[in-house]
Amino acid sequence: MKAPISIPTFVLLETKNRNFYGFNILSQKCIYLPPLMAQLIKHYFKEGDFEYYQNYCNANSCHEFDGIKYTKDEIDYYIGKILFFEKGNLFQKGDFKSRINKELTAEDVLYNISNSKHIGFEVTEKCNLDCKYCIYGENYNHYERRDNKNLDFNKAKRLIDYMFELWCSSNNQSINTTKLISFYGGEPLLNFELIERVVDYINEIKHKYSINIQYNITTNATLLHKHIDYLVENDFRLTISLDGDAHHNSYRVFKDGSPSYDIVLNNTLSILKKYPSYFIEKVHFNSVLHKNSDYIKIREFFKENFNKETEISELNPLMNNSSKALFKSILSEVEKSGIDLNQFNIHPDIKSKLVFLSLASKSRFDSYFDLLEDENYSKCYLPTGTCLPFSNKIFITVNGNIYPCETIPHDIPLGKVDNSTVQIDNLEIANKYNSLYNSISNRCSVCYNFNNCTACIFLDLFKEPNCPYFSSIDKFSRNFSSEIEFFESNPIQYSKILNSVHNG
Amino acid sequence: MAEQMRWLYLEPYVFFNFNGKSALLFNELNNAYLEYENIEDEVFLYLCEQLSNNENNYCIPIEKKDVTNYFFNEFVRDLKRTYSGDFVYASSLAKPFITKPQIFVNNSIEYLKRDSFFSIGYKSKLYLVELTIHTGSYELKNKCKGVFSNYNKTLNKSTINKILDKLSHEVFEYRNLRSINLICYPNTDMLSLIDFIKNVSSHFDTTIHMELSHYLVLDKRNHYDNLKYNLYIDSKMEMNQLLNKSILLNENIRLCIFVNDEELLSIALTLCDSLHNHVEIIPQYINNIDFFNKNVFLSKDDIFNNQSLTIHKILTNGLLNRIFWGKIVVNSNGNICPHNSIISSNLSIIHNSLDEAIIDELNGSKTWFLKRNDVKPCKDCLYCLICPPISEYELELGRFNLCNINN
Repeated sequence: MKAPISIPTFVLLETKNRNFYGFNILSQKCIYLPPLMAQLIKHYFKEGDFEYYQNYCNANSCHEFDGIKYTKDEIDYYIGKILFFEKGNLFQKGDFKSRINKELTAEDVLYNISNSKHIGFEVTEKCNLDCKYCIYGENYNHYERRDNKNLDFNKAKRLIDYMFELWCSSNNQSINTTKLISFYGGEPLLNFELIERVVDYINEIKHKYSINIQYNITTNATLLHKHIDYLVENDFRLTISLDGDAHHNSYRVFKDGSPSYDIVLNNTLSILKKYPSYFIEKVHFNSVLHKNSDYIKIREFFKENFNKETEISELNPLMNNSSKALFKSILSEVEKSGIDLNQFNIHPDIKSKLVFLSLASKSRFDSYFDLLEDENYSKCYLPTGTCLPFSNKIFITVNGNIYPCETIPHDIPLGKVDNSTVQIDNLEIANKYNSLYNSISNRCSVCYNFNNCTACIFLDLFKEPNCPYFSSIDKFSRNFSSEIEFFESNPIQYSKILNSVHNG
Repeated sequence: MAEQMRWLYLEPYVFFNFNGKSALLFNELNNAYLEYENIEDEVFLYLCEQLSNNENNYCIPIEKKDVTNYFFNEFVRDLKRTYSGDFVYASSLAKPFITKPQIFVNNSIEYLKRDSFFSIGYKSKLYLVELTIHTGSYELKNKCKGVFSNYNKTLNKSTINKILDKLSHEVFEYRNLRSINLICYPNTDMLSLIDFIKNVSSHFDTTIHMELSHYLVLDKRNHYDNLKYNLYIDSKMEMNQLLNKSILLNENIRLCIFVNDEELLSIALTLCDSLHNHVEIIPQYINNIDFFNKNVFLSKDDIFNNQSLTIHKILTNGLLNRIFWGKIVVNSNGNICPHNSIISSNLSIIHNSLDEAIIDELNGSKTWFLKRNDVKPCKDCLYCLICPPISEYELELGRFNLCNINN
């Protein structure tokens, strides 16, 4: 067996604002360094001692750096502080590989399914729209072919029975919590009969299991006028896909190319009029940012028309190379707008800022368990930031294939519901994940982002096994410095983001 | 020469607390602490206020006129001496980014309560880490002490058997449950515990708590040989007898000695010297306030010389009680509550199931979340997060400031 690779864990950084910092990856301590101290550390890392400075000081009464004069006492002080840091292991070298040596087990998979919060049904492949950026359209290759199929109720029922049994098993660690049942498409309202049958069936059995249910549907809203009474009656959480005004929504068109905007707007305003309190409580929006849309204007549209925020997302990154021109980054949009971010309620790229702060300040913990973990315990990580299988959701397609969510490519199903059974082999799933982890783990073991990775092994590494997110020390330094620059310029965002954002 | 900014900043490994009058600073890397009491200088008061403001992230600009302030200079000298912060001139106009230590829980109870569908029950069974079961009782209330807090004139043994039978299945539903304590009284039917112990002892760290006198007459018949015992002693005679007993060599036995005066303490310390980790000294309050004042009350040095004190622990103290967290007690009549002293004080926080007790605690039943920053007089003290969490002791005594910090 090869000896672990010991690599520097202390990174010296300089921001464009000419401030210096030192960051230790393992202890996650980020320390501001006054200019002289940064210079002394650089010298110390190169030469291993401070002899040059000590001799210089003995021969000269003062030393000038960056236009500032320092006395011998000041130089001695910072040398003392550097040695204090060294004694506190701030400069220690480390081994990332030993920190990412975890493997997934069949028990982990069973635990995660049993505690999954959410079943998602792909109700139908049919859709009455032909959105230009649809993952099932011509711009993507990795999703199951659309044959206008509907999900068979018996398959849905089998999965419901399977999940309800697990939710009531001793592996489930929740008490009286609510589970989410979601309907996706295609356009799910095109197979409304299945939705009704699933809801009727669950309403019939949920009391027996003492499980609370919240229904959820994501729709293009073109057929809402026909079914809204039923959705309100069953207290559905309703997510409407709408990209903004007529111009922003221009990629959402019917099969004949005609725009869907007017119908969607009318249907939505009708709900607001007929069911105002339901609208406030249960209606949500999602919007896709693309080359023809504008982040700020989208938000303004929803505020003005519905007094609501919309969840804006970027296009799925697995598009074909020829379609990359459709893509637009949220952050670059907002930065271009010149908005004072300190006045901005929620930073558009806030989750990535939170990820940075969680790394830089070690002040964000997922749960009370993490908070109570022994501080000296060296936490081990699975490679990448991929969600554990079914930890959030279990998703079934019209073909009965099972996936951990609806967004990942459909090339590798994790299970299948056929005419008689639900086939989920926990060991096989664990092995599948471990095999994918193994293919990347050597890369992760020298990656400076190993303990803060957000890459999904299915989405981000699917086509690029070399990992586009890999961070050498230089790349890490650049990215980390640029994140610090944001907080140097927007200091009140530090507490605001840590305190108010949920990393859901 | 380029324009320069003057920045005063604290290091991210420093905890700083300011209550409007006094300031306290603790450096976790070298355990250094600085305290400034009853600050009167306006400039220094302003600086402390600014440094404690979350929006400033431990870093504030200093005006030229304040650089000559005596208190400011003394403060900077202290910061530099302890490597706790610095006052720098920088050519950069951008404010240095200091990661002021703060703690936030993503799936906090507040968040889960607000969340439209997950609720606080989400994965809440994971919170149970230690279960204590009272398997008997004292018939006289005044005999109850320490963990033996169950007072019940009419003990119903069939009820206890039913409880044990139920729990012997239920305990396996709690994935993070690590320890089970069985509190045994002279009237405990030890034979009725055998099946329960057999069932759980290989899965959980199981400890039997009983008085030494009870243990010595226990008919063990090999049923209980390999278990862990906490044996409680409360008299000089018992302690002196112990000094020659082979029981002291049993690695599975921990002696828990109730002490309420100097003489008992002295004998207990002798045992501690020879047995190290196998002895625990438990101060017993019988209106002996002078003894407590001298031997139990914490001083500032006691607090800061604790090598395990970290900012993480200090900040965690502001969110939850690290001593009570995850612990549930089942009484011999089936009542369930969060800690022993509730049993002894007959407070009515009782639950019918472990799940109900967990949910109630998470909902803010003030035991798992019993923090010094919520109770008087601690909440007004600069040390309220630095002191160890409120213990069962303090609940029994009905006072929270077992310390010599603010007289």
